[in-house]
Amino acid sequence: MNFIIKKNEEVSNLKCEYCGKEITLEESYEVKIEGKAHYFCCDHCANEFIGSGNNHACSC
Amino acid sequence: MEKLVIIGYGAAGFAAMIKANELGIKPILIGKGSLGGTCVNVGCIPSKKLLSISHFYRELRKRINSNQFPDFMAAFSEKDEVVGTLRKKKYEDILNSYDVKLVQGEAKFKDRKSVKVGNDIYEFERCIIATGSRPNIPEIEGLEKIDFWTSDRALSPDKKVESLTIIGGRALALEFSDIYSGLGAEVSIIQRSPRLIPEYDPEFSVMARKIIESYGVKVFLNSKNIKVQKKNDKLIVSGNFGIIESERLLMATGRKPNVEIGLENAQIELNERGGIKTDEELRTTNPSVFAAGDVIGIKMLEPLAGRQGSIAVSNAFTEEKKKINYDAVPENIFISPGIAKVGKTSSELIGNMYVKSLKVPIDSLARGYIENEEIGLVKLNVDLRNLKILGIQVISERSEEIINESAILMNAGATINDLIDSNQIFPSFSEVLRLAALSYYGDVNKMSCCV
Ligand SMILES: Cc1cc2nc3c(=O)[nH]c(=O)nc-3n(C[C@H](O)[C@H](O)[C@H](O)COP(=O)(O)OP(=O)(O)OC[C@H]3O[C@@H](n4cnc5c(N)ncnc54)[C@H](O)[C@@H]3O)c2cc1C
Ligand SMILES: [Zn+2]
Repeated sequence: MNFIIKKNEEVSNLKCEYCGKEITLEESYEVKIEGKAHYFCCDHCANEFIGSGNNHACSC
Repeated sequence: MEKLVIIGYGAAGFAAMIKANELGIKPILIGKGSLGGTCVNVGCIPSKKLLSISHFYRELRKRINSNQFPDFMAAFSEKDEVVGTLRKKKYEDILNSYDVKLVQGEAKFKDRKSVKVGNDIYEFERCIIATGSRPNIPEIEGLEKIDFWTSDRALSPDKKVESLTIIGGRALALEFSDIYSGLGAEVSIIQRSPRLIPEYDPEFSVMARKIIESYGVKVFLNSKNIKVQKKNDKLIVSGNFGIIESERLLMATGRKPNVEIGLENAQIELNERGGIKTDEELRTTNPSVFAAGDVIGIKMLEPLAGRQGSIAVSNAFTEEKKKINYDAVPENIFISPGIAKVGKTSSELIGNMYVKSLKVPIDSLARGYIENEEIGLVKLNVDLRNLKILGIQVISERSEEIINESAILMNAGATINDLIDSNQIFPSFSEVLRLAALSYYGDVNKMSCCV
């Protein structure tokens, strides 16, 4: 098989919108709030962000 | 007038027939193609046989540091043997022990109360639609001009394949990437979403990628502008990921329900997924007609199809009003280690303030070490108010067995304490569930083997 692989510029690194940890799109939890997508490193951060967290510190 | 007409003789249709006999009803069973439908002929059975061969040799190569691959075409002959044996044992022979009239041909509804097969018309009191599904082919530039594969042909290639490109990134794509890489082919996966298996939580998607990359499979996520063309003897797939050249292209882009059966004549409506719309008791918008299996288009799984077939007949003729608890329907991706889930994922539970996820890596487990398993994880989602288990996801060897146990827990509405209070086999893989439950109360890294 022959590959001619380009660098995928479209997938730039993201940051968790709650704790700021750098994440990739692949490992992110996506939450749509009023039509806009927000990205988090884990479900705890997502819950904290939308105000329904149960006081878990982000452990990942 | 027939008491019951069943359209389709796959898992759902067979289960419906068996239930009908239990209730003293002799049904008309209409089907086309090979007896047994998808599962035994071109679904679960052949794919799992090929996966078993792939896994055996991969383990062998790892253990004795060899470079031995299975004989490509012999693997498919072995698969054909298993399919032939099981079709005979589980479908053809079984049919003889039931009171049923088999009709072969294509059925279409004539009106609200009858179906037509060729020139024959069968008027019914009740009817079950169990016509299954077929591959869904999305629009991709150039696809109509090339001879691409769907899963049926990937299960029966006519000659050895050296390289395969797969479009898709869910269960079928992963399983076929395992099979073909295990048979020595170079395999690439092109997925349009940002991650593989998007129906699982992201940490499972990341691990899924690690697993198939360890087989040598190349994975391209977030793929856009996909085009295909044929050049000399090769298929060229191009897009934002670059250009990939291979012998064969497999479209593993989901399945769609077989609903082209004259539904409009019987006033049967479709749901938002293009499957047959039913209520919880599997009754369609025509109260004399029920639906079961892949044709509903919600979850396409063999045991679910079977249970729906059986429940549809119960509800059609009795007052039992049976329902499926979809939160207790397990699913598994049979790569190695396998990936499985039941109930709700964290993504599905975001916004629910009373949820805690309990995660334990497989290397916390004695059995993981014994079997040299490095990749693996279990995640229990728990309701903090009553410690009820809301969902379980797992990556592990024997994931299909672990998730069976999980499905029983879900069906019973079990709490993590029920799990902690149970006695289990040591050392086993499914112990990981109990370990995850224990992690609610303490650090599993500080626990001995026997807690
Ligand atoms: C490659 C592959 C691997 C899979 N692996 C697994 C697995 O490991 N585990 C699992 O649980 N599930 C698996 N599945 C899914 C599973 O096979 C299906 O969910 C299940 O077989 C569906 O059963 P069914 O009875 O709904 O449909 P089918 O088995 O497809 O039966 C439908 C029947 O209806 C007939 N029919 C259709 N239209 C008409 C008509 N107009 N008139 C008369 N007859 C008609 C067909 O000929 C067929 O006999 C797999 C599927 C595939 C494709
Ligand atoms: Zn975070």
